[in-house]
Amino acid sequence: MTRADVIAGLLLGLGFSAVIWEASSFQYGTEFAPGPGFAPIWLSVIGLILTALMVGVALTSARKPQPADEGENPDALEPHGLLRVALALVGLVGFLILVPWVGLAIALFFFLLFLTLGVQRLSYTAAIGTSAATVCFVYLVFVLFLDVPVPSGPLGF
Amino acid sequence: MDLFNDLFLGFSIAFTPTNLMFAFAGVFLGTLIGALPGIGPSAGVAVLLPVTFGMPPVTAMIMLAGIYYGAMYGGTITSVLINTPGESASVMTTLDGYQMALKGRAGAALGMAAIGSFIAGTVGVVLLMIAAPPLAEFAITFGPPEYFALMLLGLTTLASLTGGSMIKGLLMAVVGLTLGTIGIDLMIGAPRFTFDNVNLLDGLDFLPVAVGLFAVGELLFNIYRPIRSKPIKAKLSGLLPTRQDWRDSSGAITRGTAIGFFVGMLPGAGATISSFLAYATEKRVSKRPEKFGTGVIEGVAAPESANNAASTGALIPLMALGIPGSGTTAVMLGALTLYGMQPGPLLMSTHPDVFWGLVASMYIGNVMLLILNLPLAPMFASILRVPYSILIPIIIGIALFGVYSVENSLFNVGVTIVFGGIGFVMRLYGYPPAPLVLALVLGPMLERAMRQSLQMSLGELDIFVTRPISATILAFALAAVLFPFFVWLRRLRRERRGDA
Repeated sequence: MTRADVIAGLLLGLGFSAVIWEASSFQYGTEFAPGPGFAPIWLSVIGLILTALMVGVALTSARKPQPADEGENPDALEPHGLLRVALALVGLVGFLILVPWVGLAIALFFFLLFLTLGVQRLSYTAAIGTSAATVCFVYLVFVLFLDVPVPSGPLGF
Repeated sequence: MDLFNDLFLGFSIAFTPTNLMFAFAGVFLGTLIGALPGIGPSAGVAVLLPVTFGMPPVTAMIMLAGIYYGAMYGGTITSVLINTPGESASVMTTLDGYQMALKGRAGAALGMAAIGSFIAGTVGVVLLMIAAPPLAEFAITFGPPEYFALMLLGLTTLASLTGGSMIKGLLMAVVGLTLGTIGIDLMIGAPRFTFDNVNLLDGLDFLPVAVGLFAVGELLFNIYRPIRSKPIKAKLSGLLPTRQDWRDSSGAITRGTAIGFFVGMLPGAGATISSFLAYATEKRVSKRPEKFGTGVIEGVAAPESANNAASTGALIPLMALGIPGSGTTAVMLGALTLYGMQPGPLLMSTHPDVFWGLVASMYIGNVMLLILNLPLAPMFASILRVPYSILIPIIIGIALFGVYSVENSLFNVGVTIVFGGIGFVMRLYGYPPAPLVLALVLGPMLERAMRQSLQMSLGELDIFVTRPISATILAFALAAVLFPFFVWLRRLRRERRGDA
């Protein structure tokens, strides 16, 4: 249990509280049976209890003296790795925005190109080859073989 | 006699060219997926599920099951050759498998794993065929309270046994159940947490969530911390075991099969725990326990037999009760509902073709797996030479296109991306995704069973404890939560005694 668990606990606590607040506007019960508000409210109460337990355990373990040879600090994050993940997520969001404009296949190609070149730092040949081959493969399977209608772009696919 | 008639029906379905082809595709892809470190069977089944749309349900289930048990073998390859388990059920195989490879016996380790998996898988199918129909017949008498208790048992055991912190496991199950309340309330038709978004009226689809958490989250983690493993240059000859290998492994395979099947059958337990138990048992009964971890063949045979038998055993609660016991079977249950079938004890009587076709295909699939893996082990090993940086974009591409194709919905792609990000954070801080996905799948069913039960009892909660079957199952569910707590308490007391 680490500091991250305390932060996660706070976020989850906020989330469960918001669920209780929203669910309080639902009908809690009918004459003999629970209504639509019953489950979300009780689940959130259980969630809040578990969250409090998790935060409690995290705080207790934080107070314990750590042995010198503790090894890797679980809270230590790798900034370069985080940057790569953030870039990949930005790329995924960009892909989602691009789809209505250029079509699913081309948007995927651009995203994969961004991922392989910008995030994973592959060579141009490997990046273009992997992106193009992946798009061709999924287009072949889903559009041509499974007949899935996908948003198409100005080039007609 | 009925059993043979049913099995005959199954083989007549499984032996059609289409079903044979998809059984082969399933075990082949499963082996590949298992061989890729970081992509487990849950992610594999979730990512490839959209490919099965448009297929008859029996064909789709044959392929998905093939991926599931194929992945159990595939995980061995990386365990033996690069000391990295392809999926969690192969963790124990690394202990002796890799040591065998270092001693130049990688071929023997892979060969015995294939044979052990074949024997365990086949025995598992026989037991599945014998156990599932009577269980389903018995479960027909179950009412909503018993179903509620069963689903609760599945969730609590999975959350408790998922490894790491039990609180986190339970918390993820509660998050999944809460997410399961999104959408129109099925009993009175009121919208919940939809925020006027039409995409949420039917609730949060399990597939985008499963693909996001299992696949995209895992891939993002591999982008964060790239896998840098070099396969050892092992000679993959001598795949067939020697007489001594047989002598050393036969008991391990038998015990591993029995442990794997029975543990796999328990909701929430599964392949990983069964492989741990099989290895521990083997070490305990061995005449040379001190040699375990140095490259003994029974250290490979036991966990590999157990994880294959467990993947078959896990199909019993799924097919007989409609209750998945693991992340992968939760995805398979979701698949059944997507194909328009109602999972549960009636499935076998309403769709005997699906159950018996699946059973028969598993006999065939296990033979395919053996044939495929003995001579082709070097080929599967060669996939480890493909850099992971090339595999990541390929898998993400398939995942995104696949999620879109299910409902032709960009909203679902967005959900996948959001849950991919969440899955990455969960992976980073040790929050298990399987209880969340299982709870999301079970959530609406669990809530319906609970509300129906309370309707039956006019609001009295004692309906869950006055019915013997429901009370017994709930007692097990409570034990699943309390047992790890007592273990923790005992350890704490021992530590304090040690300090004093």
